[in-house]
Amino acid sequence: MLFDIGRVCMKISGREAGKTCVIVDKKNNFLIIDGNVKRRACNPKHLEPLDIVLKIKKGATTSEVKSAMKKEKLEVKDKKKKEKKKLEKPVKKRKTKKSGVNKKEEKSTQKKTSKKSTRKNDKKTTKPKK
Amino acid sequence: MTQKHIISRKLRRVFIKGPKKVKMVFKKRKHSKQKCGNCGKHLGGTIRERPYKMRTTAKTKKRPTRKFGGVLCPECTKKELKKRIRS
Repeated sequence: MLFDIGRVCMKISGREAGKTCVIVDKKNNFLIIDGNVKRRACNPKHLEPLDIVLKIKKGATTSEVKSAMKKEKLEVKDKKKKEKKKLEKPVKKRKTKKSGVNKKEEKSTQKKTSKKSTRKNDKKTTKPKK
Repeated sequence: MTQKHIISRKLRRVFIKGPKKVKMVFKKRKHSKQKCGNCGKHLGGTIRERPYKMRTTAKTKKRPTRKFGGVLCPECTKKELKKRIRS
């Protein structure tokens, strides 16, 4: 028969059009296909038979079908899962006071120095040279 | 005097309803519908938008993910694939 178990076909319609598949089983006027496509029931009108027949059992699993396809030297595409990178969690550091110096003293010294520096610069810029 | 590019109907007129009066705005026209390269039938699953909107939309929303999607219609893809297998 044309659409017998083990017949290699190509899908013509749908999003998997142009991909090779193998008939695994029959189910009331529908064919169950597997291989480079998702395992599903399919209308025979959506398939185009090729002249290759594989030796597989009725209702063979996907791994069995793919190994049989490799023996016949047909292209088999496996999905590759992306490896997730493990990110290191950020470590919280406790804030510590500097030894011997208080916060208030630090702030007062900073203000004094900043004011002086700005005044000096202003004078230089504003005063024209004689 | 009205401008020449408005007289020539090059731009599309859009009327926007406001609180007191209707405002007229000029907009550029969209491109024509995409057609099958073999039979000339209009293609489904494709969109008509201005280039500023086409740039932001995803590629999967612009054409079907089938083989020859966005180029040939589904009936012509069937014929094309059958022809390649049988030859």
